[in-house]
Amino acid sequence: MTSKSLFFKQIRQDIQKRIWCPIVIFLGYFLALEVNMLRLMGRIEEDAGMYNCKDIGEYVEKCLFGTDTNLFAMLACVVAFLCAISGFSYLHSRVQLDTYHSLPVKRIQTFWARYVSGALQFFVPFVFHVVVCMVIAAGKAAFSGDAFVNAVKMVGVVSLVFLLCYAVFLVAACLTGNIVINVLGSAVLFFYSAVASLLMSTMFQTFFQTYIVTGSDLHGNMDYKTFWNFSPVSMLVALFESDYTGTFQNDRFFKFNADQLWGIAAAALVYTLIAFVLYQKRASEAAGRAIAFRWAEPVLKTLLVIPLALLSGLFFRDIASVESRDAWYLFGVLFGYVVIALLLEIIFRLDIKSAFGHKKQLVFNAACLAVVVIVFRYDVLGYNTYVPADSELVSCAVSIENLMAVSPAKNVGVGRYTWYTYISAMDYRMESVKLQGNPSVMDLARKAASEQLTYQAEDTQQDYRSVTFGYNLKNGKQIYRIYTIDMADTQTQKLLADVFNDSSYKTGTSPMLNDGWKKEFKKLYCSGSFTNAVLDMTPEFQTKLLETYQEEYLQLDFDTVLDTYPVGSISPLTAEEYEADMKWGRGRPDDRYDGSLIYPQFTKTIALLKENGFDVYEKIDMDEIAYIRVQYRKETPVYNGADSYRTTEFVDVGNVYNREQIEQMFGCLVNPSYRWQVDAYTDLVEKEFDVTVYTKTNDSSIYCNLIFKKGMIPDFMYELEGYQETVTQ
Amino acid sequence: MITANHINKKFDGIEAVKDISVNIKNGEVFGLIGTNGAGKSTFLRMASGVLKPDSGEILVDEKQVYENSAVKAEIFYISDDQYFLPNATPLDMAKFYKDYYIRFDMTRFQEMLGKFRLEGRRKITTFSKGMKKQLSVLLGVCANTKYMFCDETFDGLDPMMRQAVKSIFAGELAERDFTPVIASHNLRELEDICDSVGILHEGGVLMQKDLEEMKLNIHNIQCVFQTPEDEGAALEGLDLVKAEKRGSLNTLTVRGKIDEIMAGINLHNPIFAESISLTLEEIFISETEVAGYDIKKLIF
Repeated sequence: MTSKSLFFKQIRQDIQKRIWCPIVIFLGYFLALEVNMLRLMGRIEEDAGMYNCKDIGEYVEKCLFGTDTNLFAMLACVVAFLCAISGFSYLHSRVQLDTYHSLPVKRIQTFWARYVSGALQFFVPFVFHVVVCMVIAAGKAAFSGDAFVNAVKMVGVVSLVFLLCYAVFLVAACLTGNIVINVLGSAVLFFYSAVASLLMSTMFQTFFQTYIVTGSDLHGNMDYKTFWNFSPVSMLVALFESDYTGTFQNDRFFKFNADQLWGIAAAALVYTLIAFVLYQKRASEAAGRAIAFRWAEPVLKTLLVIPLALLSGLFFRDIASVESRDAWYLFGVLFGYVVIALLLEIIFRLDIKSAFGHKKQLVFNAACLAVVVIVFRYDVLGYNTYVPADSELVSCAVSIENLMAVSPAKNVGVGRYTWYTYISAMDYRMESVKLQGNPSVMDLARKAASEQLTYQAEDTQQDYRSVTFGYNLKNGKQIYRIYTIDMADTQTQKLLADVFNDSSYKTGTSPMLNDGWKKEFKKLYCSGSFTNAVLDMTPEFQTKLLETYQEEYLQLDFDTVLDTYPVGSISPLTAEEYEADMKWGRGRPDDRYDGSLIYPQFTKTIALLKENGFDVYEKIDMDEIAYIRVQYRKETPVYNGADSYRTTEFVDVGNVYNREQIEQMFGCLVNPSYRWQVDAYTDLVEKEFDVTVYTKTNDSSIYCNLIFKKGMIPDFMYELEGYQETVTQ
Repeated sequence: MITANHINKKFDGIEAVKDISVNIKNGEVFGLIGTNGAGKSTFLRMASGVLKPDSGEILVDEKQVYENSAVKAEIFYISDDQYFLPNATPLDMAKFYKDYYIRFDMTRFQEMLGKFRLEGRRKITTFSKGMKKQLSVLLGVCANTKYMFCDETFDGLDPMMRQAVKSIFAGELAERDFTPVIASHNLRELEDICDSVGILHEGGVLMQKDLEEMKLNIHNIQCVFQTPEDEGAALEGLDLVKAEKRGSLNTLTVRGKIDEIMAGINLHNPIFAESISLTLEEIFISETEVAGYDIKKLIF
């Protein structure tokens, strides 16, 4: 008999032996594909808006064989686990091993026969159901060539995910000698890198106050700086992460990170080879042990016990009071270490008496853990104080947090529904600000790093602010740090002013100036003191506006910003952005929050806007106003037994109907829309009262919610009927 | 021919097999006798290619066994707890083994199932322990391999079945090149089957001998002497394995030919002297006791 024919006989035997496995897989994909498809087709036929699809043809093409890929991929993970466990659990049974390993066939062949058998048990039912879905869709005249291409791609992606997970679970099966430990080991290998990344990220955030994740290291909410990507779950998150998930799009099948597919293919290959080598090296007598390889036990113990002990420490630190956090952290680490180390010893030996069987390793792991704890807690490696030498630097990005922050929109979806995600101002600045030749920049960094200020007690640190630095080094690395600075320190304030006044900082922090020259704008959202408008933009107007605004913005100095409240803002939009806004039902320009501020000093810009139809100083016609509702911002101190905090509520204190009083109020009111962009550095508005203007015509071009300028609350506000009652309560 | 040269195997630091060297000739039924933990199963698992020796070598027909599918094609191994496929019937198992052993005789298997009154289409899970052992032997015999390793396979077979299996072995030995190796700690099971035996003790080989030769060379003698002087002189001339005395009755286990032993005793005017036949079991006990091992507590 040739070994080739025996190979196929082995596959047949294996499938016969665990026939339940392909049956379960068959049923699972039947429910996920045909049943689910017919269910949703029925609903879409009843309501075309269902599932964001205009008809079932679009559903088949874009959803079933597109966006639902992640569902089938998740199912593939479960299927891979079933296939691996059922196919290789014989390695954990001495009785079965004696039979299979005494047979006249090489182990290499047995491994590949079982591997192929498991893969077929997934692939055949899955492809069968996909084909049935195509036939059903074709029968309903809802199948197209594009749908076929998408189906092929979907099968490819899901199969790749299966092969990765299958290989990882095979590694777990070959590494362990006991079915229970195999299941635990599979979970560990499946999730390890994700949990380890999360731990690393949390450790950095907890112990390094200058740690910041930004720019290319951050996708959605995922911290890619500390994101390890060698476990399947991490790779799947990276594959289906928010930027790439197949959130419905009309113009393309299914967006995923193609680079990740290569990574997944490579990882599947590497894990398969590891499983193969382990299988070959694995001794038959390993059946019944917890871990098949003695050499692997100490390595696994160390890799498990240290992260788990640290997680335990972080857990106890998190639930402790602020003052005793360090003590609880140490307790948690120690408690977690002892429990987990002993538990692992017991699991690995399958004997409770063996808890202290490896004292040397207990000591070694404890020493490693102590080193990690000390390095993080006391910043032994100088993470917080690191500032590169000037000679290492190409340029430096700076973001003065909460000052004139503009979050540019990033268009991610165009089609039936178009939407934006917004890049945070800090992320944008880290990419676009490139300061060079300004000594104050690095002086500020060095000062902030050496002072190591941290936010702790609000009352004593009201002048603390944050500044983020992105060091672009000559070796190509980007290193980010966020520092806390003290604005009460005159030297710090001077250095900060030097940074702000740098023209590179100003243009780098303004998306309109930085990117506007490369775009063609169609509309301009304008906001003034009390009104707003949408202007049409021509190329000439765009050029003129950018030139004028840039000239005046570059002349704006830090001291002026501290002393002056803005009078308006502008947001230019491309045709695509404007269309998206309209589709999302944005009727008012102030819904957008990426406006570039206009200061009273920007006289040319203000004149240009007026020339084109918008006056930032336009007042509200007093005849239009019905009345003004006044609310008082009431703060109440609360102590919940552990922490003290304040609650805020707005309490109605009265309405103003008197025209003279209304006119007096309007002399003191400003538009609060710009407040959040400057409030952290200025004290120009009153926070006590909020007023709401009720007009007779409900004119949407009028700003209804207003606040008082600093020190300009009219006396009659305090005489309103509800005020005394509210304040004295 | 199976040759083991100084093979060793440790499990978690415990020596399961310690420097074993044995030669098993073709065409004989070889019994592997040993106490619990003596290393019989480990030896057979190494001989069938399941385990790899830590050191030393096991050659079957002068070739390494481990990962050598050509050599393993001539070996059928029946472990002490034989595995059957889930929900399998005897016929399913025969088909299973037929895929691996190209000379598997399906017709003969079905015939033998009938002879042993085993139903071919009945689920093996419903079989008794003895029936499963019978089935294992039948599968092994029908695989038509040159070597068959049976680990405690005969424990639990009723006397009639043992006799039937013995007949099958005899037939196979007469008809073809067949060498069964049978491990057991139940000496009575092997006494009437084996041609030669190897005694394993604490991982090592105590002795390996032809059974008849072994029986002829060790004897149990009961004798009474007139005087202590005669008794002392008589015992001094014997190759004693063991000596017990109750009152004046001496019970001796002695090595040597029976005629020579009796002649030596008769020289010293015994009141009474006679030879009592030794079972293989008693031979085994005597040999292991010499090694300082109280085997009685374990095997009886």
